[in-house]
Amino acid sequence: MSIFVGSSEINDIYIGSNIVDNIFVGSNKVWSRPLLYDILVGDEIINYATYMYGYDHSQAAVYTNVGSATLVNTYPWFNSQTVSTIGWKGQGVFSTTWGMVLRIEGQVANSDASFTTMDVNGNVFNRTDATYVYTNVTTNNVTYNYTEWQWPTSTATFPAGAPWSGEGNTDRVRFERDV
Amino acid sequence: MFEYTTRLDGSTTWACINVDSFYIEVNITGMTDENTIQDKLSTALQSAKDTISGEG
Repeated sequence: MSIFVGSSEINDIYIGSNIVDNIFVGSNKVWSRPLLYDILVGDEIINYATYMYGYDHSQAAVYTNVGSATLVNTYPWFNSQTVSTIGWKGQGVFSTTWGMVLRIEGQVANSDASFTTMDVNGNVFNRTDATYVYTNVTTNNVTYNYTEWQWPTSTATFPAGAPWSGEGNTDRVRFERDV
Repeated sequence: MFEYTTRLDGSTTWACINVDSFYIEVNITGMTDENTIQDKLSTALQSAKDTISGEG
């Protein structure tokens, strides 16, 4: 559940100087503190075509315009493992179409305790609508050990359907969970 | 033909496979057609493989 003051959604609640993680009404939890990132939107370009639009630190060693992510709060999520991609991806993941990808390094469970929704610049991606992938494999001397949630679409034209406001802009990503 | 297990997650039913170093779950809530489920698993596995092969 969200809590608003006027039209502004609350991100943090304090009692004195102590920040509150959860609020209960009786035994029912009605609010959990969200995880917030501000994403500087980048794009990776391969062969003059955009490959990724958003944030993709997993490719930072190879490409230069991979965006960046600023953690707005420090509440530990995802077993304190690194969120390495929040990006709109095309060829190389979804063949000829595009879709959203969330990658976290290491293994994270596919459950509401990990997250329930990922809101990207006002566009909500439900965890249960995604394909969940975990892999720990070494290929060509590179080890991949990550968890991904993928939201494929039928969109074949870039950037139609992408949730970002534009390259070089900073957009808010908000995760909700139920723990 | 994938042999999959199912997992209940609240009101969501996931089909789960462990193939070629990938553990994959796809939402099959309400799906009864086996071909549709198999197609969804196949597409998910291909995307997982393409992700690795497409990495820089």
